[in-house]
Amino acid sequence: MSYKEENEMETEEQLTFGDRINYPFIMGRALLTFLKVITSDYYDPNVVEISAKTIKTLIPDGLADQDFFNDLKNAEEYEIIDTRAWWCGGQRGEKTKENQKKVLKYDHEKIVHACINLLHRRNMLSKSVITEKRMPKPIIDAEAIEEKEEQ
Amino acid sequence: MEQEPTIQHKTSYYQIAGEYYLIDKNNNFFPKFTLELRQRARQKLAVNIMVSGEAGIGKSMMGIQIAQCLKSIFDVEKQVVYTYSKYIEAVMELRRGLPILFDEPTRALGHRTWYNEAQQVLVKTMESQRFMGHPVILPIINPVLIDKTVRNYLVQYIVHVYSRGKAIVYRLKPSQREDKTYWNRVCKLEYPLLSSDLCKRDSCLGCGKLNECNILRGQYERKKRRVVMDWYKEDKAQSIERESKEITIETIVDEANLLRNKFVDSNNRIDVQKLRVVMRMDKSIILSLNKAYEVKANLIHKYPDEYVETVDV
Repeated sequence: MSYKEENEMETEEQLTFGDRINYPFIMGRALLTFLKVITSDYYDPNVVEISAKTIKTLIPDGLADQDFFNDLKNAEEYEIIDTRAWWCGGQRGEKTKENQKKVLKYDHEKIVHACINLLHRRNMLSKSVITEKRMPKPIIDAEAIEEKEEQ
Repeated sequence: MEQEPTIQHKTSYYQIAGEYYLIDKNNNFFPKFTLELRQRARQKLAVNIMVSGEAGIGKSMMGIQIAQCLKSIFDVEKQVVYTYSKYIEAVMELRRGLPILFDEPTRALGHRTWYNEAQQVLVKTMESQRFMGHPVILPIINPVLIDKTVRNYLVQYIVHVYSRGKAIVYRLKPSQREDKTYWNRVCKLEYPLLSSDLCKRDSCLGCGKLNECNILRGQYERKKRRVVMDWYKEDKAQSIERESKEITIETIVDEANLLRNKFVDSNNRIDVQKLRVVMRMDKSIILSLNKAYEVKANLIHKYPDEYVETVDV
C-alpha cells in the first residue's frame, strides 16, 4: 500500500498479525540488543552470534532480494582448523590435507549490515524524498551558429 | 589499513517529450511525477492539477512546464485561457489530450467571479473528460479559495511552488468512507527557467524586445499583458461610473456651469441631452436622465441671470 487508510483499518476486523504486532518495535529492540552486546565490557562471541541471527531471522523471505543474498554470501568466511591432537605442548603427527579442516564462519557484523541495507532499499528505515530534476538546455547562441554556417 | 568501499554514483539522463531528466539512484533523482502524469493521460484518466504559491513566484511558468510534460508543443494563444467562455472554446477546438492552463489573472482576489468560473471549469471536466480529455492546470494563490467539495474530489494533484522553479507535488486521495482527503507527497520538482536556452534574461519584465519576442515565455507575457490591459480599461470605465454616482449635486452644477456654452442653445435654453453628453465627454461624469433634469433645475436656480430664456421675435 502506498498510503494508509487508518479509518478503513479500524472498521475492518483485526485478524491479522500486522494489526496486532508492532514489528518496527521488535526489530528496533533486536538492533539495540546487538549494539549493546558488541559494545559490552564482557564481549562474548556466542552472544554476538545469537543476536545477529535474531535480526536475520526477523526478516521475512518475501522482503529479501538478490543483493541481500549476495551480501550474506560476502559475510561467509572460511577458517582452516588444525584437527591434530595436542600432546605435551605440541601437535602430534604431520600436517596434511586430511588434518586441515575448513570451517564455515560468519562475520556477524556484515550480516547485520546486510539486513540494514535491505531495509534501506525497501524504504523502511527512512522516508526517501524523490526529486524530479529537469536539466536545463544549453543556451543557443544564434551568432555562433551563423558563423559556423558561414564557415 | 582497509580501504573503504567506494560508492559509485551512477547518474544518467532520461529523455521524455524533448526534455532531459536526471536519474540518480543514490540521491533519489527520478522523473516520477512526469511518468505518473503521462500514464494517467494514456489510460484516459482525469488529470486536474492545481499549482499553488504566493504571487509572482512562477506558478504560471510551472504550469506551462507541467503541460509540456504531457505534450511538448504548447500553443500559448489557444491553450492559455482566462475566462470560462474561452475555456469552453478551447475544449471544443483543441485536439484530444492537449492540456489547458486556466490562468489566474492578477485581479482575481478582488473579483470573486474568477474563482466561481474556476470551479465551473473543474466541474465541467467531469463531463468533458470522456470525449475531450483535456488535462486542466489551475495556477491559484491558495487552494482554499476553491470550494472544498470541488477541490477534494475533482483535483488529483496539488503542486505547491515554494521557490522559483521548485515545488512539492501532493496527490489527493479522498476516502470512500468518510469526509476526509489524504495528501500524499509524490516528489519534489526542480525545473529550470522556461526557455532558458533561448534567452539569457531571467524575466521578460522590462525587456525592450517583448513586443517582437517569439519564445514561449515572451508569448505568454505578451498575452497576459494584453488581457490585463483590457480588464484595466473595463475597470476604469466601471470606476468612473461608480465615482460619478458619488459626486454631490453641488459639484456637478458648478462643473456644468463652466461648460455652459456647450449645452445651451440659441435661445439660452439648457438642452438636457447635450448636457449629459458634454459632462460625460469633458468631465467624465455620467448623468442619468433624471439626474440631468435635476442639474438643469439647480443651474437655473443657482445662476438665474445666466440662464434667462430669450424668445425669438
